[in-house]
Amino acid sequence: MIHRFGCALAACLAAGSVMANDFPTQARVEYVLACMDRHGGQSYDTLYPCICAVDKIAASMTYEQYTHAETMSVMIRTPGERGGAFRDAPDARKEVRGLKGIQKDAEGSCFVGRASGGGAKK
Amino acid sequence: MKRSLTFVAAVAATAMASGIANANQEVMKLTQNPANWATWGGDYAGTRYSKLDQINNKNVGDLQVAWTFSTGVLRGHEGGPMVIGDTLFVHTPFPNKVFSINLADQSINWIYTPKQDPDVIPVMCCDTVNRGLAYADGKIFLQQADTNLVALDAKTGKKVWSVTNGDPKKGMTNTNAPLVVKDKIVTGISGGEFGVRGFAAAYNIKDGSLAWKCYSMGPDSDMCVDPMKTTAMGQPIGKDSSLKTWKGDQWKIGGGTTWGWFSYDPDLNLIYYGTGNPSTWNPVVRPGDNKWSMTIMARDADTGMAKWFYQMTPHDEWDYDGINEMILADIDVGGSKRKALVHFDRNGFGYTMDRVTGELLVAEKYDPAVNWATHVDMKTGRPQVVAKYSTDQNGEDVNTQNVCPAALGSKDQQPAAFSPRTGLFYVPTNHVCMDYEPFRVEYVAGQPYVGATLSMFPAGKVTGDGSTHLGNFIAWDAGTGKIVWSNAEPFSAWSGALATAGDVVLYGTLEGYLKAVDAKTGKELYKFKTPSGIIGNVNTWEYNGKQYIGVLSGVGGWAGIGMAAGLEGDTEGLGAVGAYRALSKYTQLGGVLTVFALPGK
Repeated sequence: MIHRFGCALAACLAAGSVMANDFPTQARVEYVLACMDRHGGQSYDTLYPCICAVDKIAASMTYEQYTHAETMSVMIRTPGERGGAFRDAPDARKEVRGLKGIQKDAEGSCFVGRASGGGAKK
Repeated sequence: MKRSLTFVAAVAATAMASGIANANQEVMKLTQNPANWATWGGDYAGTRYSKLDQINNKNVGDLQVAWTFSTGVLRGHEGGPMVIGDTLFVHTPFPNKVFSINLADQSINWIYTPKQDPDVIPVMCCDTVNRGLAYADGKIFLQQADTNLVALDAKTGKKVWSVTNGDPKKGMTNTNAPLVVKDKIVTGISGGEFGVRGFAAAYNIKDGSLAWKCYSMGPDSDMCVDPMKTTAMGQPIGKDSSLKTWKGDQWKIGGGTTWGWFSYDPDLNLIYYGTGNPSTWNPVVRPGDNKWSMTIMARDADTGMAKWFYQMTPHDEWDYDGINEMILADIDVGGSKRKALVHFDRNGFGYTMDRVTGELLVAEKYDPAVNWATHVDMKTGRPQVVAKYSTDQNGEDVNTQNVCPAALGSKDQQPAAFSPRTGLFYVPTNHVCMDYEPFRVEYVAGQPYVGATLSMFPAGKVTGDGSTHLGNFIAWDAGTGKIVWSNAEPFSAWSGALATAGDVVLYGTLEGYLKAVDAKTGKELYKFKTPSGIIGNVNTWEYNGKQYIGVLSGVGGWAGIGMAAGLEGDTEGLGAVGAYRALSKYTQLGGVLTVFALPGK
């Protein structure tokens, strides 16, 4: 069983410190740009918290786990028959909720969206 | 607007060579030059094989992104770019825009934006996709969702003619790529989930007038068959071959739609395609074989007259649409060279037919999980259905469990590739099973006519091997019906494959990876994560002496977790014009054409 979480999410988080920390540069840059966009656009007030958040996420799970959960979150929203296989997949929603939880925790502790400067920009 | 000099020159040269404006020969010439990617399959045979070998199994690991182009359109992006000379043409899902891009600097020559009634969206069963364009005679052909088949001037993007192919109010839509054959353009129809009666139609490329139209089912006169000359399993199909297999006039709303791919053999002058599921999905209410749904059809390109049929799934009980691509290849079967047609059906069987006669040569499972039938009887051609997986025998309102494959099939429409160098077929597959519960529905024109509830899950739940992956990418020997190698994919493989003379095979994944594997061994040699999931086809071309590989990403759905950014600035990630800045916030959800090449000048 390679492609799903091999551990409960809490255990994954706990084990995170010894995890691969294998997010490629591309993934970190993409996350940071998207994160800044979500929280008011490009500024130092969004840049630093978003870098902090992606580093925390990368420390919590392997890139493969992240990619799998992220893909699942897209596929379960795909309309029609095509998305059905994913909406029905056992643990798909749990997996997506798990990723969202990790992301929320990471962004929360990194002050993402807290600074007043960034929000006014866009 | 920049002039496309090479494009004009290439077309002029072929026109002169052929003497007359014979679009067939023109397209044939264009497809024979591997610098072009002039039709959906790369060639009329639908092999999706390129003779280009600059990118090969030694250097493919060095691939880099050369340029990208964002379509600015959300939803699933199927099909792939078409390249003729120095011009690339790319299409989008609804509203079915077409972009003409100058390969010299990726600037846009023209954009075609059709005005289509959004009411067509709800009658498209499975996302508002479009599978691409066709070219001939200086025209680009687009089969719009609203069923209008449009011819555009390839140089200006101006509409030359348009013809209505069906009625969306009755559930008819179009998603397929049309195919130019001689002086005609062949297209199909979608809407099997709305009780549409399927047909193939050919229109004259000169003015869009109808040349022939042949239904999948109904009276002999509607189907373009000769009861004595059209054969199935070597025998004449006889009078009323379809009518006899339906209760009353159910054939009028019988499905058998034709939303897949068309192939063509110029020597035999035959076109090949498959017909979809019978309507409704509830098999109990439509007794009989429901001919000719779920059928491989070979038809004369000039008249539509049927040469042979082969029904793969008589009386479908699982929605195993028969529309997947027909790959025409001359391969070794049982020790002799055959003019074969190879087809990976949704029902999980890989079929090898003699494409001249329709003789069934091989029918084997290309996913070992397939369980609805034990095998195909080679004498009768009929699948031997396993009673406990028969949704018909189990009946209405009974949940038939653990049927493999799921309704999506062991393979969806995304076309496989064939390499004459290895003799192997490269097939993106689903590894998904289902529970299926038919229920009774009444037919109302323009309303869904489905009549079954499904739930789907990884095939590992049924096979009991503990696996959770949802797809495989396999190499298949169509002469023997055996899997040569199989790569497990975490998600269903829903991208059209490409094989090249460099002995690399490329395909995309739902995570967004473009993957390159060794054609002989399947060993992964390269992967790159594009901005979104890939359900498009990987195509290749050459420009200024350099080989390029291009694929559309964009899967539909809505990214709950931010991925690629809505990049700032006018040009980044938005194609050279940057005309879609307002959409930048959602651009990460939209389609992107990513183009790869080896580094250096």
